[in-house]
Amino acid sequence: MIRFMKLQKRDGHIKAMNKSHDSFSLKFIDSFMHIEQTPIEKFIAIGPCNIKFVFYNNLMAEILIRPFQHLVSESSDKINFTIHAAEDSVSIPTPNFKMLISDGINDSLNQNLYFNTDTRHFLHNTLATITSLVDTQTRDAYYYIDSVENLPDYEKAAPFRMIFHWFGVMNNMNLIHGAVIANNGAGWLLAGKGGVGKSTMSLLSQLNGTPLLGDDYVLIENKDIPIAYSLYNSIKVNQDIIEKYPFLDQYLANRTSHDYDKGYLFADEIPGQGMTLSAKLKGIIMITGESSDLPSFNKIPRIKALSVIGSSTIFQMPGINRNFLRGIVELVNALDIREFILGNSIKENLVFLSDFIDESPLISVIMPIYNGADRIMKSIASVLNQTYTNIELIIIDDGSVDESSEIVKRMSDDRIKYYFQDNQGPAAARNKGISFANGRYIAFIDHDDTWYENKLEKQLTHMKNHSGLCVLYSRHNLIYKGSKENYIWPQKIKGIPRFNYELPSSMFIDRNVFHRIGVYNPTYMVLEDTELHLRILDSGIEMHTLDDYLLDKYIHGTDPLRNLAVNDLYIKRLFTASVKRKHFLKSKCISVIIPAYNPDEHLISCIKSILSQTLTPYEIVIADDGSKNDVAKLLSCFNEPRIKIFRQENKGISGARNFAISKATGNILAFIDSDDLWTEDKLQLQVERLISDSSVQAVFGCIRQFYSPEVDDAYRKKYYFKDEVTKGVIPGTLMILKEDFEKVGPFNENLRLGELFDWIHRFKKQGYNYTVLPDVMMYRRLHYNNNGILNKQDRIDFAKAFAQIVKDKKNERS
Amino acid sequence: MSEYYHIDTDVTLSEKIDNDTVVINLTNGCYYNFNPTASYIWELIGCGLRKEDIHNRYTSVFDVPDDESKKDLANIIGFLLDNELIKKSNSALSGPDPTSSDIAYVKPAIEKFDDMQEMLLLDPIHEVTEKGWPYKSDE
Repeated sequence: MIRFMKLQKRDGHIKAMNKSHDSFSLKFIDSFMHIEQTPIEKFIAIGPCNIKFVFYNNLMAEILIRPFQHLVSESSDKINFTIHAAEDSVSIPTPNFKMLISDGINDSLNQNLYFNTDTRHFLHNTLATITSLVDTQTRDAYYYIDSVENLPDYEKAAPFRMIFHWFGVMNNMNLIHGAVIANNGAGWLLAGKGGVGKSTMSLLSQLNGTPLLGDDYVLIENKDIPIAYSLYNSIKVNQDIIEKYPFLDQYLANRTSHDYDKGYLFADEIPGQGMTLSAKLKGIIMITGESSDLPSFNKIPRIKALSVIGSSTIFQMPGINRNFLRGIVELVNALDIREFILGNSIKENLVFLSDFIDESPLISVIMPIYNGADRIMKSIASVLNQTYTNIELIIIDDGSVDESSEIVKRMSDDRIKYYFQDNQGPAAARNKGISFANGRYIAFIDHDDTWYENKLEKQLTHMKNHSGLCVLYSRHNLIYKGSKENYIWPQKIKGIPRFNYELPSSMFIDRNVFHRIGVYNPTYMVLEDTELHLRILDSGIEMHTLDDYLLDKYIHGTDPLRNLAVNDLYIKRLFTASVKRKHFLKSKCISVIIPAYNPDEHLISCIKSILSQTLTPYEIVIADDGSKNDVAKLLSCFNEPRIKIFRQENKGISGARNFAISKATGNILAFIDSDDLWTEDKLQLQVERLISDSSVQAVFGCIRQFYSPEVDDAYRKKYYFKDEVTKGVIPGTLMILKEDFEKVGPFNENLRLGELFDWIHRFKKQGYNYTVLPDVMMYRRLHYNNNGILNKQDRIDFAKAFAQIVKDKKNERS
Repeated sequence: MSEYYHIDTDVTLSEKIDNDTVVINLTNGCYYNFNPTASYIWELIGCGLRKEDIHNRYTSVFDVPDDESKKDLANIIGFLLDNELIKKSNSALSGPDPTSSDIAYVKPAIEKFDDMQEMLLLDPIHEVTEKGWPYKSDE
C-alpha cells in the first residue's frame, strides 16, 4: 500500500522516503504510456527554457494553454522539460490510477496529499482531484485530472502550479506567490497578504500603462540581480473592481458563470500594453492593509517581507521544496524592500506607484524662441547638457525672422523637436509646446536663459520625494545686460502671494496640471506666467520653490514688461479674474440633471456613482418624464434629501432635461443619463477646470463603454464595440455654468436625436468653447433598451438637426 | 458592363430642406450641403439608375451642353465616391423617384463641413442600425 504523508501545517514539510512511493510513481507514469489518443503538442518558452506540453485531447489543450498564450513558441528544439496532461474521461484506459490513489487515501478530510523522494514529487488535491507528479531526473511531469471542464477557476487561470514549482527548483528559480509589474525591463514584486489588493493594483497598473509580468505567480531566478519571468497571463478580479471599472466585466474568462467574486481574465485580451516576459527585479513592494489619506512608502525590515512572501507561497503550494525558504531569504536580501501604504483614492495610488517604478520619466522641455539667434545656442546647450538625460526639447519658433531656425536645424541632437508658427506671443507658443509634449513632467526655458547642468535632476528628485507636489520652481541669478535702472524686475508684483522667484524658466510641472486648470492664457501678451501662477494658487495645487539657484536669468532691456502702463492693465485684469474664481469656488453648487423615463435599477447604480463623488453635488434633479413606474419608490432606498424628483407628461429626453434644469437651483449644471455611471472624481476635475480656465465655457470628458452584465452573448456580438477610451462630447459628461447654459438656450424639444449637435451649434454661435478632459469621466452602459436609433423617426430627427445647422450657417452668411 | 451606385444608408443620413439636401456621413464625421442641382443628382443615384441613365435623366431636366453635363456628373460622383457617401456596384438597388421639380440649373455644388466631426465620430449609439454598428469586429 502507498503511504501518503498528510499535510500537517504545524510540522511543515515532512519528507518521506519510501520504496512504495517509487513503485507507485512508476505505475502512475506507466499509465500515461498506455494512452491511445493522439497527443497534441504545444510549446512555450520561459527565459532560456523550452517546455513541451503533451495534451491528450483538444479541449484540454485549448483550456490549459490559454494562460500561457503569451509564451507560446513554434519551436520544438532543445526541450528542457515536458508536461504530460491527461484527463480521466477520455485519456486513461485503465482504472489502475484511480485505484492507486483511493488506496492511498484514508482520510478524505485532508485536501492535499503529497510525497517527495529524491527525484520524484507527488501531489494530489483531493477536492479538485488534480494530481501532479514531477520526475526531476527525466525532466518530465505528469498531470492528471477528472475533467478539464470541471476544473475550478483557480486552476484554469493558473494550472500546473505544483509542476512549475519543481520546474523552478530544477532551474534555480522560485515560483513566488506575488505580482510583478515592470517598467523598461526593471521589475517590482508586489506582495502582501491575501486580500490587500495585489491583483487590483497589478490589473489597474496594467490598464494605466505599466506593463504586467504576472499577477499571482511568477518565476524568479536566483541571481545577484534576480530575474523575474512571466508564467501566467491571467489576473484575478474582485467584484468591487468590476463595480468601479464596469468595462472589465466583458473580459472575464468566467463571466457567464456569474461567480464574480472569483473572476479572472487574461491580460492580453485587454487592449493596451501586452505583457512583459522578463525583468530584472529592483525590489519588493509590500502592500499593507492599512490606509491613509495619501499613498506613501515606508522602509520596513526585510524579515517582514520574508515572512509574508514565504508564508503565502507555502500556503498556496503545499509539499514544496524544503530549500524554498533559503531561496526566498536570498531574494529578499538582494532587493530593495518598501511598504506601500495605500491612499483612499485608487487613481492616486496608481499614479503614485507608476511614478515610483518609473525612475527616469521623460521630461518635456519647452522653449519658445523669437528672434533669439544671438542667444539660443547657449540656452539650448544648457538643456542638452543636463545631467538628467531622458528629455525631449520642444522648440517653438514663434515666427522668428532672424537666423534662429537655421541655428536650431544645425544642431544634431535627436532629442530636439522644432516647430514654427506665426508670431502669437509667448503664451500661445508655450501652449503649442504643451500640446506636443510627451513627458510626464514639463519644464520651460526662455530662449535667453541658461540652466545649470543639474537643474532637472534636482527638481525631479525633489518632485519624486514629495507625493502630491505638482509645481516646483527654483531660485535664479539675475544677469543684467544693460543698465539696471530701467527694470522693474525682480520687484514683487504687489499682492501676489509667493511671487518672487517664480519664473517660467524655473518652472517644473506635472503635465496633469494643465488638464486641471488649463494652459497659459494667450490673451495675456505680458504677465502670462503670473496669470498661470495665480490660477495654480487659487486652485490649491501644491507648489514648492527650491532654495537652490538653478539658472541664470538674463535681462536685456527689450522685454515688454517694461511698459508699466500696459503692465498695470494686465495686473488689474488678472486680479479681477482671480477674485471672481475665488468667489465662485466658495459659492459653487452643482445640480445634477437626470432625465428618466421608466427607469430601472440602472438608475440606482447611476445615483450611487453620483453620491460617491469626491466632490459632492448640491442636488440631484430627476425629471420623471411620465414614467409608467414609480420613480420615487424605486429610489426610496436612498433616503437622500438631495434627490429631488419632478414629474411631467412625457416630452422626450430634451424636454425632460429642460424641465429638470428649470427646477435646478445650483449655479453649475452637470448632466448624466439614468443608465450611465460617473467615475468618482468626475465632478471635482470638471469644476476645477471650468472655474480656473476662462477660455472654456463647457467641460466634457472621455468615456468608455461597457455591456450591462445582464445582456446576453447575442447582443454582445451584434453590438460589438472596440473597447477604447473616446472623447465623450455627449450630455452625460457635460458640465456648464447655469448662466452660460441659459445664454445658449434650452435643448430643442422637437429633436429626439441630434439635440446636442443643435445645442453645440448654438453654443459655438455665442463665441463659446468647450474642452474635453482626457480622464475617463463616464462609463456608458450598453443594454437592451438604449438603441433608440432603431426607430426610423429618430434617424430623421438626427438629419433634421443638421439641416437646421446648415440653414443657420447660410442665414448667418447672407 | 453597366455601372450602378449605391447610397450606403447604414452610414449616411440625409434630409431635404427646400431644394437643398443635408447629408451626414457617420463614418467620417462630416456633413454636407447639396445645392438643388447636386440634390437632384443625389436623388437620381438613390433611385438606382445606371450611370448612363443618370446622365440621360440629368440632361432631360437641365438644358446644358453634353460635355458640360458629363463634367458636372463626373465631378459630383467623384466627390461622393471620395467621401464614401456612395459605392460602385454592378447591380441595381431601386429607390424612390426624385421628388424635386422645377429646378433651375445652377452648377451642382456640395459644401462640406467638419466642425462637428469630433462629436459625430464618437457616438456609436447614433450609428446603430439593425445590422449593428457600421464598424466590424476585428475577427
